[in-house]
Amino acid sequence: MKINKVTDISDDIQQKHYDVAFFACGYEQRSTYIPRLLNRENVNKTIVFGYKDGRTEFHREDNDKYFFNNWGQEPIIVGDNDDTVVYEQLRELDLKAKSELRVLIDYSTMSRLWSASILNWARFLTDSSSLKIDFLYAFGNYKGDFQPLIIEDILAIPGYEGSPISDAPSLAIFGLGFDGVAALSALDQLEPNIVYAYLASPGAAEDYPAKAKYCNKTLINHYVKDKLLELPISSVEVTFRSLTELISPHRGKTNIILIPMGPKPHVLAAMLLCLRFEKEITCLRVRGKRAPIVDVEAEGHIVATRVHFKPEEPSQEQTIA
Amino acid sequence: MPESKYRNLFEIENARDLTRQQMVDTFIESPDFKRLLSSKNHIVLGERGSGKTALAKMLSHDHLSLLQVNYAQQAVQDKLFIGMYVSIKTEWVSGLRNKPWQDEREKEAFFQWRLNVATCLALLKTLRSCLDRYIRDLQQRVIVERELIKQISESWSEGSQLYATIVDLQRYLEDIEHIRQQQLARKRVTGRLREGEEFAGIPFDAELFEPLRRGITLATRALNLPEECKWLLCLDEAETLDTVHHRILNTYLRADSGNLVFKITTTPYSHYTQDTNSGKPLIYGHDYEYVYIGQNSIFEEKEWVKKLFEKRAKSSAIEFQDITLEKLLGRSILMIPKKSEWTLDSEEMTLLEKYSTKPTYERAKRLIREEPERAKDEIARKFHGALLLRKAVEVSHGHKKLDIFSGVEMAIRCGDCNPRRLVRIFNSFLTELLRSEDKKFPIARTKQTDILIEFSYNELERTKSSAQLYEFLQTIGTYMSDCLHKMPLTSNLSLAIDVSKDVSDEIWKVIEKAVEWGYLFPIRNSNHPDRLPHKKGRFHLGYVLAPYFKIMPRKGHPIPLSTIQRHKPLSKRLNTIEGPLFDNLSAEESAM
Repeated sequence: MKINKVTDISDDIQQKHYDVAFFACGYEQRSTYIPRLLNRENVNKTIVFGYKDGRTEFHREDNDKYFFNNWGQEPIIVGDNDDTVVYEQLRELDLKAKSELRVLIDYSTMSRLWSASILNWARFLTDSSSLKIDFLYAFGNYKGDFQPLIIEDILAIPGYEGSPISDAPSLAIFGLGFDGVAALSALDQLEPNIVYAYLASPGAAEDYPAKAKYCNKTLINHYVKDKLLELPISSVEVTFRSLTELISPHRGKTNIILIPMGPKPHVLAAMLLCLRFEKEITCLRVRGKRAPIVDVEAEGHIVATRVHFKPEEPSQEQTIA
Repeated sequence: MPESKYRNLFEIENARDLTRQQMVDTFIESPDFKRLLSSKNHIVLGERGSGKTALAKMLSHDHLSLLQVNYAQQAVQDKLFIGMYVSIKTEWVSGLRNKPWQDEREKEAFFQWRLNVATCLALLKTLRSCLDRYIRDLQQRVIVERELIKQISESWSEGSQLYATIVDLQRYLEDIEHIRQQQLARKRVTGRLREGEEFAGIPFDAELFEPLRRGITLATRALNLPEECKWLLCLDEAETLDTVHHRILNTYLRADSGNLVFKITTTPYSHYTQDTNSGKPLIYGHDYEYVYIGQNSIFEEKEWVKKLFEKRAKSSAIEFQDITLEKLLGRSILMIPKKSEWTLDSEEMTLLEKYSTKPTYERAKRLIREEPERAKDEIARKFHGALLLRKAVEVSHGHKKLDIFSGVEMAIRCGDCNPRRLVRIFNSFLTELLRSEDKKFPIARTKQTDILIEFSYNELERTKSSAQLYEFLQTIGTYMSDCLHKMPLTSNLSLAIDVSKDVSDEIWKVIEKAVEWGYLFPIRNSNHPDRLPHKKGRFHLGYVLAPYFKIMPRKGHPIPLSTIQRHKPLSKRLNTIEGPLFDNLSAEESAM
């Protein structure tokens, strides 16, 4: 399957029907915000992934109970850096004889490895002639100070490796959040030839853009300068399109590397871009830890995005005889 | 005019970003480089930005053939050494380590497959250079290329793909890299490949470097290369690999690799193991040698840095052509020992009385009276800078702006002999010059000081991504600053640390990281300049941090690390983050 279209949609999800819905169950209050808005009758199959860590933190126990009582699902326990269980669940899905498949993913609190895995599953799907995935994200209020990320590793998202083998110049596009030092550290390790960055503006809060610029001032002032894009947090469609335009003049000439470290809608846009131009773009994730953890409450707004996949033409697939 | 004349090469701090011609034009060849142009296996050690990539790239045939230096031209002319460059980039390695589901055998096999493809790509680039250099007649060159590439592509595809040009074969290799990754992703998701599908690039599943050797054999015949010709495989940035990958590479360092010679660059302490897959470890001096590039002797430092500046300036825009470092920055009042005016009633002695211990002051008085020559060495030379600095900082707390971190010698010293750091420092000064309205030379000392302090601050800020490293450097720097500004001075100015063998593993890891990033430098044994201390040794703080902590950029007297750990800071910490670094002292350290 190939990405055909990425569009913003209404967040009025109460009446929508889905063949399968994916949720993540963690300690944040936000984990159950979107499921509570849905009508369970409208979802044929539900899969809830529960984080292996933090099972007694903040709202986790309540969230586990909520999914069990209201969705009939005990969360399937998965490490946040593990996709094995995710793929096992996906392989067991019986979706045959569905000409159009409709999927919901609430990625508000979902590990990006899990959501990337579901996208991988989508691209290799052969059983349907049309696939529509609705991605939903609930904005959150952090109930504590934002803790800096301590980097453990920089890894390509599996399936999003691109082809960085050539000695073409590298072009890095950083999605910026509040982890200025981590972004700088990643930049130091990658040493790209050209650097762009984007951040959320408007952001989740009024002061978000100024705060993100301040946190990343060294990277912006010394490396990015006038190559900073300000893209709305609430529109994955606009972000996706803007990033597509950004890379257009560089395609075929550079190894393009995406390092999305900002808000999740921007991360989603980056992953979709990588899937769209799979050979040309590497999408990295910066793995690390924050301590101490903080709770996040939903503040009421939702970003809703529809990604429409269609089957790939046989000639589009690269094979070696 | 060539494009490079219009470019400010001081904005390009990374060797990766230079074009081939820019690299050659700005390269400063050194004894280390000459050492590498040999048939020994070398592991090149150097902190980030120390010039490892430049060295590795300059060994590659297309760069070396442009270097107008006798021995390099001779090597190329006589076909003695043919270099190939492979960058083990972070983004390349990120596609290796992101498959935690693979078992050890699968991980090794995948690494070998990918490295086989990468080295073969590097070979093709070198073959382009060799064909251009050794076959002048265009028609003949095309014929040889076609025949050679046909043979190589047949070998690398088991006959399924035949190409006639280097470019087409390069594209094929890039394609199979991507296809293989996608096949692995598909297999991960669906549990299997497509019906009838095989993995791409099966010939590269052969033993490591086997496809490369085959290509070299065919090229040797086609280009009539002499038997003694050595192929230098330069693997850059090996610190990004894991221990298991190093073990695999070591196996080939240990083996008789025939005409293939390895030059591997990595950061200090990032040659992770001496083990091999053959069961026997590497033998230093026999299987390989280290080349530790880095800080030159003080005597060579200034000349080398001046050359670095001049080469960059010469290859940059016209407005930089006539600028010299002296013109730009003037001399350093702190770093140049004044002609001794250390008389008993001099200002220097007044400052010494004010800031030093009584015994130190009394001793100074006696030496000046009785042994003036000894006084020059033991008093004037040791105290001159420290006294000036302490006074300048004290006065700057009032209305006077600090101007002491200025001058050529200070800028050079703060660069730590690190090309990348130096280029960035120079760029900061040149940017200031271009920004100023009057373009006056030299740049005002107060401005230079502001620039260096900000630079120093930003360097330390970058370490915050590793909480322990930041905290460690803050602790050491604060201690040294307290010694200089808050405590009575003695002739043993504390500017280095002495690490004992009892240091905990945790702290040693932080020290290693500090060395890797160029914020601590081992004080090396002159008899073994290429060997690094392990768990016991002396290190001085990177001079780049001197402006931030307002300390002298000198090695100074080493202080036991345990002493620093016990010290309660007398100065206010400018930036702190939480981190229980010293809560986890080893039992021995706690008891000290």
